[in-house]
Amino acid sequence: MKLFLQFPKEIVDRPIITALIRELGVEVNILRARVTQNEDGEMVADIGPSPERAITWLKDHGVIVAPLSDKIIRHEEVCVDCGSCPGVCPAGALSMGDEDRLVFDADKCIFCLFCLDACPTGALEVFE
Amino acid sequence: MQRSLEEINERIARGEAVVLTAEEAARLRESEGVKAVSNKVDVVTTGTFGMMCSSGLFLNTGHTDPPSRFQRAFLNDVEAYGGIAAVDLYIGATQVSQTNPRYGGAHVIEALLRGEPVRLRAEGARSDCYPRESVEGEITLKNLNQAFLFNPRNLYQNYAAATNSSSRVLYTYMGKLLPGYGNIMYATSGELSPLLKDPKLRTVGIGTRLFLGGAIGYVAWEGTQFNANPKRDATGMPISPGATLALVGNLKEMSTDFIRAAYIPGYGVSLFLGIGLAIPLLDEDLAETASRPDSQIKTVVLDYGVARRQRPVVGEFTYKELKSGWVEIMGKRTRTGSRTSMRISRQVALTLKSWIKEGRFTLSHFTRPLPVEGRTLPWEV
Repeated sequence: MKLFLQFPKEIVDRPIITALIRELGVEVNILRARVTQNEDGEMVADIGPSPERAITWLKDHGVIVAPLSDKIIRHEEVCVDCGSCPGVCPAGALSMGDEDRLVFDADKCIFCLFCLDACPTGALEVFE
Repeated sequence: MQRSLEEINERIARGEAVVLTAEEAARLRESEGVKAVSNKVDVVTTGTFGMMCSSGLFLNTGHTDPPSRFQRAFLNDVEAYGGIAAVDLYIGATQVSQTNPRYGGAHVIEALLRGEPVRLRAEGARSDCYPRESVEGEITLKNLNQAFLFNPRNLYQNYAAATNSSSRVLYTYMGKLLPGYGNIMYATSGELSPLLKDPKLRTVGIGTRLFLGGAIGYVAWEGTQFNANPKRDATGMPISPGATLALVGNLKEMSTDFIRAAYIPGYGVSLFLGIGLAIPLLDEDLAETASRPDSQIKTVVLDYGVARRQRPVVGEFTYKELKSGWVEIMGKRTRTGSRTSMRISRQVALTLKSWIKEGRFTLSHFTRPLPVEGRTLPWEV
């Protein structure tokens, strides 16, 4: 399951992911990680095979956890389904589906954010 | 099968006309052949919903008291052209606001259409005719005497797709082009695209009635950069930009379902516009072109990585290939993206179809054909 993890600056210098893997034996595929201007850490990671225990463990250790699908917001009333954003989505997470409507598959998203400034109607946004 | 425009209009009046959208006609052709389309169908409706920069609105506010002349005018801080009669203005879709680079003429047009008040600030030289030097106030669409779109260039007959061989991201009106042939962007509704379904312009000319922004509009003239001699394939279908149309229509009758402002990062403002033509199937030749499926309509791909007027052609694809989401270019599997909404293009064609079925829209003879010769010349400077 792809998750968006936020590490408040008080814990950003700790090897939390290493501890998670050692203690729970879960598999972690880190897709993106950075430290923000506020010195918080942000990470997009695919955690499996059963992420529920890992989510609880991360929350207990001060990490803010959200499913990746909650982070990318599509304003449906603004989107005209033009098809521009699939053209810049290397992972194929954005595509045109039934009746040529835009479909977002969060499981495929690698959070590259190429799509944000590819949209001519401002319909895509990252929820901060 | 041969049928005249008058016969088709009589069938529309009697509620007997067989009307299909160009997609429906393409499916009928795939299952039963061109002859069946020609024998069974009277009219094929088309549609597109894409960004058309060369669009704008003429408006007349009515005179103030004392009268004034709008020589310099701003609508929500977007400059409108006032170099015409006193309270006539033209606001172009791509004109950008002086205070917000993401807002422009297209947004003003959309705001008016939504019924929102728009702030007009204008000034002009004092004269005996127009003693008042400046004026500021709100206008709304319903209080304008006239508000009609006059678009110098809409509805390109095919448009070249775009890719990028360079090593940096390009922000273009064709969208965000990723480096190293990272994607291909195209901007046509393919088998629904109006002027591709009558490639020789046999049924469209000056005065032709059409669907414009949710209302009935008209062809006013040939469009700017009209090209009567585009590159064509063996069947006469343009595979590079060809004809264009100048269109006119009443904004007061239009709908925001078919008009939307756009902001293209790195490029500027443009206007999404829905346009559709109804093509009478006068004979089998028109039935053949009007029912052509995506698999038989092609476009070239230009390399926007070469920043010259003449960009090199680096590929050629059918719209079926482009619409699949992935194609191979330069030995690399790459994503494709569209600048034209197929969903709303289809809605245009379906709406036009329902208008014809209800007898609200009949087919029209044009009053003058479009040019058959002449190409777009560059400016050598």
